[in-house]
Amino acid sequence: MTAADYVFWVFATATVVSGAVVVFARSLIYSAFALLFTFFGVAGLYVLLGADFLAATQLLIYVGGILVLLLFGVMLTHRIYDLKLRTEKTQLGPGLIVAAGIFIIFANAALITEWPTVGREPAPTTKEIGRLFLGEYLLAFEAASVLLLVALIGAAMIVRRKKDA
Amino acid sequence: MSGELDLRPLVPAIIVGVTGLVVLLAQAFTPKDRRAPSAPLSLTGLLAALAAVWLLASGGGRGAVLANAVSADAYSLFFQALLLGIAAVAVLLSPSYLRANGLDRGEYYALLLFSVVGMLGLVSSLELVSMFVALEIMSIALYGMAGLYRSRMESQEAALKYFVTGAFSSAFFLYGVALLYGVSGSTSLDRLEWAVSTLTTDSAALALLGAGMLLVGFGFKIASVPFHMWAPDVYEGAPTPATALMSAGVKAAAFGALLRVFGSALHALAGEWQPLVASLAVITMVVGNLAALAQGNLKRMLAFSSVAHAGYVLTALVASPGQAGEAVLFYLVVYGAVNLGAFGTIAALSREGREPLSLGDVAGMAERRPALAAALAVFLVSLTGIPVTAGFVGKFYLFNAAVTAGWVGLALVGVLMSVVSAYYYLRVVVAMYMRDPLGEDTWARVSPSATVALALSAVITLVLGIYPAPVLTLARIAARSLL
Repeated sequence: MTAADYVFWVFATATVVSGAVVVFARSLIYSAFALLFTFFGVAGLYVLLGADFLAATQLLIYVGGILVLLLFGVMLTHRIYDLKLRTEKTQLGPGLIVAAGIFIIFANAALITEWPTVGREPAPTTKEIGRLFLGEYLLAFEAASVLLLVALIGAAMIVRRKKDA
Repeated sequence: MSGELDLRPLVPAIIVGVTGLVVLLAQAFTPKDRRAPSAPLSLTGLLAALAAVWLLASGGGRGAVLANAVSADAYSLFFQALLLGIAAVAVLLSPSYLRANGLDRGEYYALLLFSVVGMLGLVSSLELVSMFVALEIMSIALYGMAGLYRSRMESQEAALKYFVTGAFSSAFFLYGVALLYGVSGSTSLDRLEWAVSTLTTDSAALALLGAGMLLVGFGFKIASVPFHMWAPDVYEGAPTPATALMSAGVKAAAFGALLRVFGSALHALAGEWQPLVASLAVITMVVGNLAALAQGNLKRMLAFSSVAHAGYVLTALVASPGQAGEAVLFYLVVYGAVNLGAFGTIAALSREGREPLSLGDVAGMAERRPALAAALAVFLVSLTGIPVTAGFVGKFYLFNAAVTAGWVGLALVGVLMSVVSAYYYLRVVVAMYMRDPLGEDTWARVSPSATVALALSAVITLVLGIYPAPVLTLARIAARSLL
């Protein structure tokens, strides 16, 4: 194994283990903190894949923004600690079987596929992504602003106070 | 990147989007004691966009633009005209319903218009990332609309359920896009078509998984079984005109994109995905119809009927793209008119936060409201698919497409299930015509704009049943541009 392989396993284990803690932790606050390590692990995997811009964005937006917001949300919400989070309708058995089946199918497909490769060393991607956003993906990039506007309007409408609704 | 920016294919969507902003601003600048002209503005915008579609159809500017991301080919234009028409009828149904339920807000119309922007983008995208963004614009606007009726628990439940399952389905869709990108190295449908037709057997597994994920994503949007669990709750909880838009518009837009992706880009894999689609169609028809039998609530009954109809439409997808396209496009027009009419009738009678939802509520309606009862009867009979109605012609073409492709059993299930469906549709007609009314008629007088909407739906339903040729020809031309 090369050094990169060791690094990969470190990040992969961190991601999966902390992901499991997010799901199975009893208290919401533990889940939120475990999510921090999941985000870091995923960012590490992005770096290993040569996706530098994506890794930086992942840290900035998910760790720096969303997670902080989430923690504030948890800490400022009254009596969220003793909240019972699990629903009564967990179907562990069938869920495990389906998940394992899907995992086997996907892993198998990933292993037998001849992936198209570009045949060059990973290079900084920021410039290329910027070029694509204003070129090939201009429409999707611009339409995303409409998407955000719609989300804002919808959210504002839903949280408006009752008396002027 | 070739120099010039050609936005012509986007003009209808831009008009609708700008109208959405105008509606919001008009609301903000209207004095408190006056009503903002939201509905007339929305209607004007939709009709202007319809005119733009007409101009595009008769003139140039049809090619793919913006690096092949979007096009105004005959297929897109057919769907855009259909979707704008559906939205216009939904707007006509809205003012009286919103006022009767104390929900009269400009944001509703803005969200409606933005969801239409998403639908228009969905049917004209030639590239999977744009298609995904359009899908999300449509969905997020609809989540908001589902939760508009905040004082009712059902509406809150609808918004939350729709949001959670919708986000879940978007993840499936996105995963599918990522896998197909892995196959072709591009998100463009053209490149995908080329890559799929030159696949080695080893990579076919990946392409199929990608296709399967996309199918799950679309399956949620068209509410096919087993991805339909949200539909009855959302259709019941959302304000009824919004439900009409969801059942008619979302389904049309999602089928438009589904057919474009599967009928043309992934057609080389048809041998593999067709059995999957066929089995989805069968369980959707069976579960949708059987569940509808058990519903006492009219809105829930229509929701399950809308699930069942997704199954009927899926049966045609096993045919060749041209034939499937023609049948599906025609059926979506019929289905749009009929469903707007059926949900519209419920909405039009709504008064002081109540609407007719049980058989008892509509009992004896033929005596008190002969015209309205006749219209609802036309819609329900058409949903059943009895000859001389549009529903019959539509189903005939759908099942005919399946039979031509050699899937006789599939068509047979469709016919059998249509017979089953007669029970729950005609039960309502029987209640309206043969039972005595219960108590006083406390329902609202149908407002002029709702009358126009219902009359329009009824006329389209009747005309398409007797003289379907012109729309069929248009559907054929539109479907041909898929090939």
